[in-house]
Amino acid sequence: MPIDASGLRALRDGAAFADRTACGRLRISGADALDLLNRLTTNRLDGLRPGQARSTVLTNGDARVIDHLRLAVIEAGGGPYLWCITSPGRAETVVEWLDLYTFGEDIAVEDRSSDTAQLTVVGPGAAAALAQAGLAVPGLDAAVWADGVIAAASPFGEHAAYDIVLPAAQASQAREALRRTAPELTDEAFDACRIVQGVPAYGREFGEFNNPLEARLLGSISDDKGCYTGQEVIARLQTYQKVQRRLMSFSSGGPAEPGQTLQAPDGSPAGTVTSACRADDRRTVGLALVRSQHAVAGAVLRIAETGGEAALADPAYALATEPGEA
Amino acid sequence: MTTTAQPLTITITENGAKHVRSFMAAEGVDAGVLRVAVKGGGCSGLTYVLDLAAEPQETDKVIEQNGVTLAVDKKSYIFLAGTELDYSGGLNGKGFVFNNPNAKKACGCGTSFSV
Repeated sequence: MPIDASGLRALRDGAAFADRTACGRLRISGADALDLLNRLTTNRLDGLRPGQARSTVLTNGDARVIDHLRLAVIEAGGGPYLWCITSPGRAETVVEWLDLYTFGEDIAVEDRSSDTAQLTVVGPGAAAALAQAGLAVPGLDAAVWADGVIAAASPFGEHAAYDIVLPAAQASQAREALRRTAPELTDEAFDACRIVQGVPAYGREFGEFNNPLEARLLGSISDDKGCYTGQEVIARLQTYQKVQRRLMSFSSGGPAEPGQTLQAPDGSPAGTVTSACRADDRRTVGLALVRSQHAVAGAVLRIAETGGEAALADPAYALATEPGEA
Repeated sequence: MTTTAQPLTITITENGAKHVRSFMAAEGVDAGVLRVAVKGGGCSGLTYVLDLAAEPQETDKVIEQNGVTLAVDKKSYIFLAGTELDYSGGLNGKGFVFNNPNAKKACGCGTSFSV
């Protein structure tokens, strides 16, 4: 369980950045690229213009999550193209998935994960840190390209996060520029920031074991764009209120570990801890997939393995992105 | 006793062919092919596509049956091999119907499927 609280101080007081090069980065081009992605993913992508960024979920026909993608439309030398950021380790799967469902469309998908780097800046002072480092600052859900460097802003709980994508050869220079304005986080510290802000992650809060509604990725789902892969299942789950579990944040006075069981007051299983970190010496903050009937902000569940209490809250990311919740 | 496996192909019923010829006539197409294809998307992941074209493409699989020429691209053929294309008309008809043995699931409206 992460115990590095430096990132959490940065989130509270200013800004910090992390090396997120482990994420996948795909360059997608072709006249049919947006149309195909619009048919295969949950959010409305038709009409997306250069300079715009949007999150969307790649789902299978059972509405299980292949990955949560961050797309940005870039116009630079030769016409518009898409940058697609995947979860760490998911680039190859996403490329194969898109290839499987391409039937003669004009689309080319290049995996650029190995020759590019990615730095992510978080915190209330992130925009100022970017500007001080000489980097372009996009608005939320926007992307800018300057001198081969792409900056895209996406929701990250209470504040936006800024993903800087650049050629690997330029990463050291950018890192040094950012270090002059904000501390660099370890992977553990960044994960702690993610957990505190309630940002779901692949393999923890979503994956092929669940649907995007459980992970509260509603901000990445269009409810009026018509057919896409998994749409029928998602619409049915929403219409009949059959979503089995909901992602909740929790805080506890004692330790918690992923995989531990949350129990309802009557002792019945109510959920599972998916992520946890130590916010300070005494308080643990985590995320859990909780059965819908128990997923109520303010409810207190019990961690079966430790006997500790887990007080539930709506994740900041969900509050910032769910329609009607902002 | 030996049995000979029949090669998988795509077939069109007489009723289906009749309606293809009818659509061709309505489009003013004297001679042409019905392109039968699959594309990604739709609720279940894959969607059937029908289109009229003047001639098949070089790499298409071409099937002639009941007076109609079908053209199928190689990748679509993988998902359509063994399919029978029929037509369901009338007030409650569905239009062209794909009886696809590869399809494990279909969406509620029947236009999308998964394998």
